[in-house]
Amino acid sequence: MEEASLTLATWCWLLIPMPLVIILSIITLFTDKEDN
Amino acid sequence: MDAPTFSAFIVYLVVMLSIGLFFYFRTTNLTDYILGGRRLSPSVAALSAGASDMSGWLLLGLPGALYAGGMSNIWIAIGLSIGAYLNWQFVARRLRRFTERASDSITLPDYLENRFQDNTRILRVISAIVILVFFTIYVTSGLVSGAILFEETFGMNYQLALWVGATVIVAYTFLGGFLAVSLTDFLQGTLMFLALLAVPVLVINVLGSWDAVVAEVGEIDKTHLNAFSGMGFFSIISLMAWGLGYFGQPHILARFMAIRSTKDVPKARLVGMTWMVLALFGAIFTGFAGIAYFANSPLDNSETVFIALTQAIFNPWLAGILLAAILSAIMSTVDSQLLVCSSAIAEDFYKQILRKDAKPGELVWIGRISVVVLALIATGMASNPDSKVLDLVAYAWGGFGAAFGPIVILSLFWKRMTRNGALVGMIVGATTVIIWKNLSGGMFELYEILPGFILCSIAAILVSLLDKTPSREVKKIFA
Repeated sequence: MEEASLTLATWCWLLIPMPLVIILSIITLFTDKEDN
Repeated sequence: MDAPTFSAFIVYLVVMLSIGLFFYFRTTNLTDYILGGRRLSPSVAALSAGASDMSGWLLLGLPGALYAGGMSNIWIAIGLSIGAYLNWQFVARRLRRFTERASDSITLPDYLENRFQDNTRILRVISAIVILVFFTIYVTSGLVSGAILFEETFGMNYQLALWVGATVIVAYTFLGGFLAVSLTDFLQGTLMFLALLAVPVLVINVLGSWDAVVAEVGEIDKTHLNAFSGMGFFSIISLMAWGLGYFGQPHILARFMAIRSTKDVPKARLVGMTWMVLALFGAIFTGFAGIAYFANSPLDNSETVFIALTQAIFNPWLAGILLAAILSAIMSTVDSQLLVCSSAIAEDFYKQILRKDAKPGELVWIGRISVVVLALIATGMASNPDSKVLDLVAYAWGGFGAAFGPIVILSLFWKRMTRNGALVGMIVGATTVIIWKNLSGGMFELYEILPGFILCSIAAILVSLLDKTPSREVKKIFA
């Protein structure tokens, strides 16, 4: 069977924007509390 | 159908109905019925917003798209994640605060009227009409999805499956209102989450490894491995534009209004976004792994990939529970939408126009009767088994996103916005979506939410600037 893999660009778009919103949510969990 | 699958399925439905019955005895006024008295905890608000949003689309549509077209379909998930995050970040807290300040508004039309101090009722009536039109389409698509699930899984005929599903959904929406809906959404959100994580992991395990899955998919079609294959700039933008819809979905915004306190928003955002992103990953990898699993016997209908994998991999008891998860996803969306429609009728038409001195108990009953009537209309519309579920969902999602999205955002952040700006923007947004949907070819292949959202924003801003400056009372909400 020929070797196959997801393209690098696909991995980047799959693994950067979506997890990033979780990271931003964690950051704002602390920063937003200061606003209250 | 085998006995264990059937038993697990029935137990699940009985639990949901019991929850509805329990809250039936605790519902005393309309705010309780519609918003659960604004006392949702962050986790319940977050998962309820997620479950009411995602519907059968998450378990049937997205895995189906991945199964049929591979990684080029990840853009819709990326767009939705970004849209949902921005909605939680910029809209949730302000909307919770503003709806309370604006005469304790409990529905979107209620909020818009109070925000702009519109005594003519025109803003309320137009927004309620938009809600009724697009939600009836939305509810219809949900009932069709439920019917297809019962039909495929239990071998019922389509019409019987449709009525069984509709009856269960209406029963607990009718009985319990928002608290029941939010709590059952919470349970359903948890179940969907576990199902979406378990299925791809087990499929990869059965096939040996992730590398084996990728190799098998590459063998079938190498373009399935590339997110950009066959995708131009406008195709990607069109899929990502789904994210714009979040700002205008009344059933999701209702969760923001119902959250216990603005201080709970950051926690709810974290819970909601974590749930959503992991669930989207689960759906993506379920569809992708399905390509490899069914390499030798491809499915006729790509959207049955989650159902087919569930039945192939799990024992019948677990399969029954996971199939209930699919039904639960559909139910949680339909019940939320029925509830928003019932509130539009009870709160925006009946109380405001027909009987201004209606008592709380009377309004609860009007809300309940509306649920039954709307469900009957939607069931009638869904009785055609050839109805296209995803087309209907996209239409309704686009309609709300374009009609309400820019209006909600501007009303929360722009003091200078006027009643007429909101009114014209809303009409332009909804009309653009309807016209665009009925045209095809060239630029009209672009998802209608994008032009609708842009034109609604432009119209609302221009008309507001040409209009008289809002009064001091109107601006007071920003204090």
